Amino acid sequence: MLFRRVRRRPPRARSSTRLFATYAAASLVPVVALGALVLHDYRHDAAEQGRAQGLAQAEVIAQTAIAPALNSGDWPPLGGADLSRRGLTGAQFERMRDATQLALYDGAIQRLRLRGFTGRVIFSDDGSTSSGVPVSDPDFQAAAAGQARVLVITGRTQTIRVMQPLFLNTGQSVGVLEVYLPYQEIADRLQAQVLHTTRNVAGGLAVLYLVLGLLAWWTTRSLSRYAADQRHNALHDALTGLPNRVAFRVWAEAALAESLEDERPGAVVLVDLNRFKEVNDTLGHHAGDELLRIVSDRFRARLGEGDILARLGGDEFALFLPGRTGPETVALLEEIRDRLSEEMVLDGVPLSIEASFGIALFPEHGEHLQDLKQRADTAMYQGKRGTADIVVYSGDGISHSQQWLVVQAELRHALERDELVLHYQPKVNLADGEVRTLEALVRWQHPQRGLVPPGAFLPAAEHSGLIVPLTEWVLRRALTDQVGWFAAGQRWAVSVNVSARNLEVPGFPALVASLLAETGTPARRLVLEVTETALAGDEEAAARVIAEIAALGVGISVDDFGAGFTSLSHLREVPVDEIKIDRGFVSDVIDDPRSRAIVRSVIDLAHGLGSRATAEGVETAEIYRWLVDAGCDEAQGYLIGRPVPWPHVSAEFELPKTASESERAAR
Amino acid sequence: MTLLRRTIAATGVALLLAAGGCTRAESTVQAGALDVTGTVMMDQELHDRLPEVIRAKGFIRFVTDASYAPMEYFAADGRTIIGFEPDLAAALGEVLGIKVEMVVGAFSTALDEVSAGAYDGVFSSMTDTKERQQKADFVDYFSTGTSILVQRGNVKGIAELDDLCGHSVATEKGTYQEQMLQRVRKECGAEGMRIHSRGTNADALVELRTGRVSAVLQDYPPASFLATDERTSAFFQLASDHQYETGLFGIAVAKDNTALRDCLHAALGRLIASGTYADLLARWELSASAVTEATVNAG
Repeated sequence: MLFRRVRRRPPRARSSTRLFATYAAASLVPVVALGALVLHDYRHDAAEQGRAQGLAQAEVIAQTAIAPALNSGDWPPLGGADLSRRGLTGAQFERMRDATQLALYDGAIQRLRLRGFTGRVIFSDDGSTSSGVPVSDPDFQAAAAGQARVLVITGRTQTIRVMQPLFLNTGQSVGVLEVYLPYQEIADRLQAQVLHTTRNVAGGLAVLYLVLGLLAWWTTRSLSRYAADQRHNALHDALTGLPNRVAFRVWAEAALAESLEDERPGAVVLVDLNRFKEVNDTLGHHAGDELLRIVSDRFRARLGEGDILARLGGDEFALFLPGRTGPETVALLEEIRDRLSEEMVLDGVPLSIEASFGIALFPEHGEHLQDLKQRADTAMYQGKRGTADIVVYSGDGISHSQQWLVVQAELRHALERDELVLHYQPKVNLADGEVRTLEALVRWQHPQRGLVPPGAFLPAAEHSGLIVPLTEWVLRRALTDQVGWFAAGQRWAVSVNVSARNLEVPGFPALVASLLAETGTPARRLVLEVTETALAGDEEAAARVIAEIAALGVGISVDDFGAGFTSLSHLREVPVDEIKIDRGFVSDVIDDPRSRAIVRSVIDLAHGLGSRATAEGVETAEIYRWLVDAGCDEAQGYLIGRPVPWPHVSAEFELPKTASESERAAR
Repeated sequence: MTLLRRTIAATGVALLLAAGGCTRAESTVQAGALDVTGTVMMDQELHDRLPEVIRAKGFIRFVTDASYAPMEYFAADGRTIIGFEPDLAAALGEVLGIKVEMVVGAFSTALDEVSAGAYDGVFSSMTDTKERQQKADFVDYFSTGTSILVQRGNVKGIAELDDLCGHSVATEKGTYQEQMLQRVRKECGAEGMRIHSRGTNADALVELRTGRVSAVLQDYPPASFLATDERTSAFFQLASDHQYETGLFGIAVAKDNTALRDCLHAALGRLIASGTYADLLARWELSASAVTEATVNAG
């Protein structure tokens, strides 16, 4: 990317690696916890199972071996006395020994003691009476109270000790059975089971974790790619890959703040390609897109680090060029312009593209990006209207842009409220002073500001496109007024100024035709004045429209001829009835031989083309006389009449005396 | 009704307290009734009438064979005797104002031991018979008959006492049922009957459970308990609902100990009158076997 910044990188999402690491760590916790919980429970269950097994075994021993012996014999049931007091009969003792000895010998029972509640040993596997659990032991106490207790003792091998209450078949508890059973085998088996389960659980969880991890990795990668795409798309133009309007605003604003902080100058430049629409229309959008790509590449080739190039939309580009003075900026843009205008081949058609550059410099033209852009825009439009293609904003004359917005808004209302009025300035035949045509000039009767001169609002209207309805309004009103003076017996034609913008609106000739029909005006009594810059734009289209209008019979006049930039070839293609010589030349004819030469040439040129030559800005009798001598056809100016409402136009213009006449008068 | 009695009792106590003439004897004129907390109240007069010896030693000791649920049997701990009789004994002790102990002993020798003075009485579901009245006086507290208990399914098809002929039958040694069996055997003729008299009721039931005998003869309450209790109902059932030779259970007291007999008689009367007796029976689901009044040697 062209745009590289040292500081203030645009915010980036966490890298996919970091996100994945977070994921992995976060999912490891529940997986490990689950594993630990399962294993802990399993271990606990296994131990519990072992104890339950020991307990069950002891109970079976108590019921099958001990209780029958105790119940045997014909002895009276106990009277509140337990085994401690009563002991066993000889027969019971023998029977008990017979019932247990094999199990003891085989090791199925390790130790066995029959004890009274006082702890006295009534019977033991080896005949001893002094050993055994102390009476104070909680397990002994619990068994004496009817609750069996089990304990795993880990010595050389593991042994399980069961303290079991001894019940007679009446349900009476008579003592405690203390029995030791081998537990090693059970423990080993349980251990093996636990180990086996541990392996399975750990393996399963590991696989699960792996799958989760892969999923997480895949997901985070997709997500971060998607996010990066989204971010890029949100800030970049898809066609050229350049930053878009949003990105330009954000990044240029940041860069501007930095530059201002460092007190470095720079420029904001708006660029508009000329005749891009033409390429799009004639060669197709594909060629237009290709052109934009080529243009972007050519821009890039000249820009340096820290410069920002953005495509604002359509054929509009913006540049932020920090660290350059005005002249340096202009030099750079000239380079770019030259590079841009190099010939390129699109769909086999060789063409070269030109662009208008509007430059606003900071800090002198503003310290806010919005202001700078507006000023660059103003400068660019000035360039489009004039001849220069690289224009630095100059405060004079066109610093009204902000004011323009207000004017535009008010003008819109003015049109609706009918605050506009038409004044008319006569054009006379130089030879006899007869008024031939009234030029309609619009005035604004502003409710607060009074009569506003056209210079105060027409540029704003032109700039905003409001000129189109305005012209239409003028045209309609002028034709209506003409009906008025016709009724008053005057046969003056009317001329109306038409903006280049009007010519671009489809159906303009049809509108003219319909207005003529509405008012019943013969077409030859209408003249449309077109500035020569209107012709300089999209010449072919403009020429076509003008030809259409001329075909109606409407007269075409070229306004301000000589002040702008016109290729003479335009005059060859357009049917022109009148050429109006710009006041700049006319006012100088007396003093400046060069102006005289030009005016004479234009008059000749007009006549050569079969057109009338009309001089504008005729303010003195001297000039008038000179023009008569030079062969000019018509004249317009303060000398003849200022713009006034049509009823005030004087029908006759008294011819100034010729030079000889004035001499005579002087004598 | 109980509430009314309690109210009267409480009011009486309150009035006496208010009069300032409170003595223990006077405050317990309602002996055998319940106090406000539901405790049986002591009767000082009856206490005073207890034999000197008993008052001196401070307790009455009854012998019982605790293998006769729900009348008297061992709790799960194998040490505590529970059942209707221990509860009734305790209630009697409350009225008499003396501790009552239940001690485990052999049923068959119990009467002799009482005569010998080892115990103050037998309180062990003992049927009051004329024969036994030779050895002891009975304070009768319970009315029931005898039932035939057989294995669940009754494959031997025993329905009547006569059906027992030709079978082995078990019972507890020295019981009324042992005598009944001996009488039935006489009618059996050539078929005969093998009677297994065992030291405890539990021994007899073990023989029925393991198929060594076809039936066990015992009093209706424990037989019914066995046939309905969830731990034993899978193995035992009643041959029929009929109760044979209905009789009275009595607390056997030595014949020369009339003072104790009369005290127990009076105390029992108080418990019956106060409703405590009925309440205790209801707790053990034995209400059908209630007696309406306390009697002596009525069997």
